[in-house]
Amino acid sequence: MANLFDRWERKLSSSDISLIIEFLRTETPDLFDKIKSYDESAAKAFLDGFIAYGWTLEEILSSKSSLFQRLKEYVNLDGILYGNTNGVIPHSPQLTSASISSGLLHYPNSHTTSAGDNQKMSNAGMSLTSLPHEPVDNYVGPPEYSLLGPEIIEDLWEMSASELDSILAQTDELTDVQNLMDLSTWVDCFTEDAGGFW
Amino acid sequence: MQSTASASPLSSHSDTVFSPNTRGFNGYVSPSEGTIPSSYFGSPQHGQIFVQSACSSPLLDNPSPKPNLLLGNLHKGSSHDILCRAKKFFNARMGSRRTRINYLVRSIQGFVEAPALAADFAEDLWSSRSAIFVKPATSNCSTRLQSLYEGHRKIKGARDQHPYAARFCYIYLEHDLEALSQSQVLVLSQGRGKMTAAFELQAEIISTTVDVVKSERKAGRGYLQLLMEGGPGFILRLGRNVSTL
Repeated sequence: MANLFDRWERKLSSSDISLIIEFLRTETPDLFDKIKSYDESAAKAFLDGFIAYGWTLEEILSSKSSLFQRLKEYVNLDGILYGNTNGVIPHSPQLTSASISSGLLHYPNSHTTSAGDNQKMSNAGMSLTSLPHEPVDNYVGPPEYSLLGPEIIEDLWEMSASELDSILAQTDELTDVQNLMDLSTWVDCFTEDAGGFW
Repeated sequence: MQSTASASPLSSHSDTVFSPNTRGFNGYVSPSEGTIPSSYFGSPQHGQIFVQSACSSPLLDNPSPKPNLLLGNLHKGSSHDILCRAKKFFNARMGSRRTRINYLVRSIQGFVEAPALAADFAEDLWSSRSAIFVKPATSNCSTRLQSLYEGHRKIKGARDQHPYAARFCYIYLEHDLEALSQSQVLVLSQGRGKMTAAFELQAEIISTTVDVVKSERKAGRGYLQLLMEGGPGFILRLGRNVSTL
């Protein structure tokens, strides 16, 4: 008899999997809803993993991949990117204790702060993982980002208008770079790699 | 074999909390909680008939189940009911393909028994503590794939300790390799079959063989389909891995 791994990786056909989902959806709605309640935290964990092995938020956002599109249904990546670029504060900072502690792009834990650890950190300060069942609706307004410590957030309130303008100008420049990257990322990427192999 | 039933009350959908920080990567407060008794399915030697015998239980026809040594509480009765309905549902769709139906019912059992996850379950998935990936200094398709595949290989032999990350890695592999296959440059530069060229390139990037690449991709397709059709949460709710040998 196959174990769980064998079943899902070797035994079940595409039609089997569709049938399993159909059963759960139509016959066990409570269980189905319970499974779905993990969607958002799972999506964040998935995106964290992508970032951990080398994807950037910009690449994920610009990709046309159906998987990324699916994950974006649960995570507000646009908000994260445009609120987090180069550590620049969002246009209308309305950070609250609740939003900061919501877990989105949370601060690195103390056990991950050593130099050695940072090298292997998934994406230090860029983790997307959050509390399970946290609704996407929580992401109203500018996103939080972990690169800002409390002391930096405090400094923002003391920022002059000219300083803020300067930062917003930088944001615009980075947005331009992002737009340039909207070209077929995979083709460009492949072209670059292919030269090394062929 | 499956573990035996526990007498402790438990939600039919398993509210056992899994936290990799405090409870180990298997994530089970009690290995036996919420598990459908092994005798429910019969012995492995009789795997082709186990579901049928289970659903002949009086529980199916009686809204007030009699005390049952195998299903000692209402929650387990609920789980039993779900599996019986699953058996009937799949039987109606698949006819006499009993081996296949058993796979499907066991898959449903996994969802029923999946341990709940603690709020911080994901923090250690990719963190320094488990150090699955070493982020490449420069990120491009090749370095990403290499980092991914190294991490995948690292945890592949310890999947019971990394049940979620292992599934995620298969999805990442399938996703990234498929994306590479879609490149039009691939066809033009090779001048031969697109899939052949793609497999060869993928194998070269991750220093393995085409056969291994094909095998890895096959393993990831089921998870990816489940994610796309069901949702990301499904990948976390497949249940525990219990050897039935």
